[in-house]
Amino acid sequence: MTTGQPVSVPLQKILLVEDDADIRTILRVALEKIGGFKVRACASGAEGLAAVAEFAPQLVMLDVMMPGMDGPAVLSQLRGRPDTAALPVIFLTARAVPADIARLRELGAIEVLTKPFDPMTLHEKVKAAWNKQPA
Amino acid sequence: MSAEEFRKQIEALRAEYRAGLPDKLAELDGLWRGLASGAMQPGRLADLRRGLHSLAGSARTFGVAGVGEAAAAAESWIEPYCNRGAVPAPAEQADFQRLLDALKQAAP
Repeated sequence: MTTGQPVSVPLQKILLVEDDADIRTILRVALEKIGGFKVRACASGAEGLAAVAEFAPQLVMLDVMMPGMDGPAVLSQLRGRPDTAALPVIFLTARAVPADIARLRELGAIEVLTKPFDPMTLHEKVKAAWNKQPA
Repeated sequence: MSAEEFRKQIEALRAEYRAGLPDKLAELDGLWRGLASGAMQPGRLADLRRGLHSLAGSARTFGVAGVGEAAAAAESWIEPYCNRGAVPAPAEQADFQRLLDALKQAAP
């Protein structure tokens, strides 16, 4: 049950799923070094799903377009498991088309972040999305 | 890590990315040549589109905006062909070649 109040648990652990190695690296550096988060980075949806149980993230950041299992498919899998059904997800996409962003939000993402992003301020956007969730 | 140290690390990553761009572009060029000549199956259009999409997202993040914009233009052009699983006809291929050439010219 939600109270409508912002979430009070601090964000510490993020699972990052991104197939592009360059983006994965800069995301990890931005989130770990500046944001101070503990980050597990995975290169595919399947790898990310396998890491969820062991890493127990508080938040998953998912690239939308990935070979094999794309971001929405990963989200669907997470929603289908009782232990991850409510796990907050942020999508990352290079398609900043309003209709696409709206569709991703309708799938249940708490935020949709677009590429390019500023690595210096990314952690602030992630924290803001985390903090605005209902408790 | 201080903000200044972080900036230096980001700059190092950007330099590394720029150094790797010729290989990325050569890979895309090879894919396109294979598709255009019929040497590759039309299914590989998905790889070409994905590569362009990836470049469109990453290049702008790494401070190479011109490459990102050129990659996005090429991705938009090839997307309908990818969705249909059909390689552009020879008469149309010059249009895409121009976009690929513009992409290569945008690289630093």
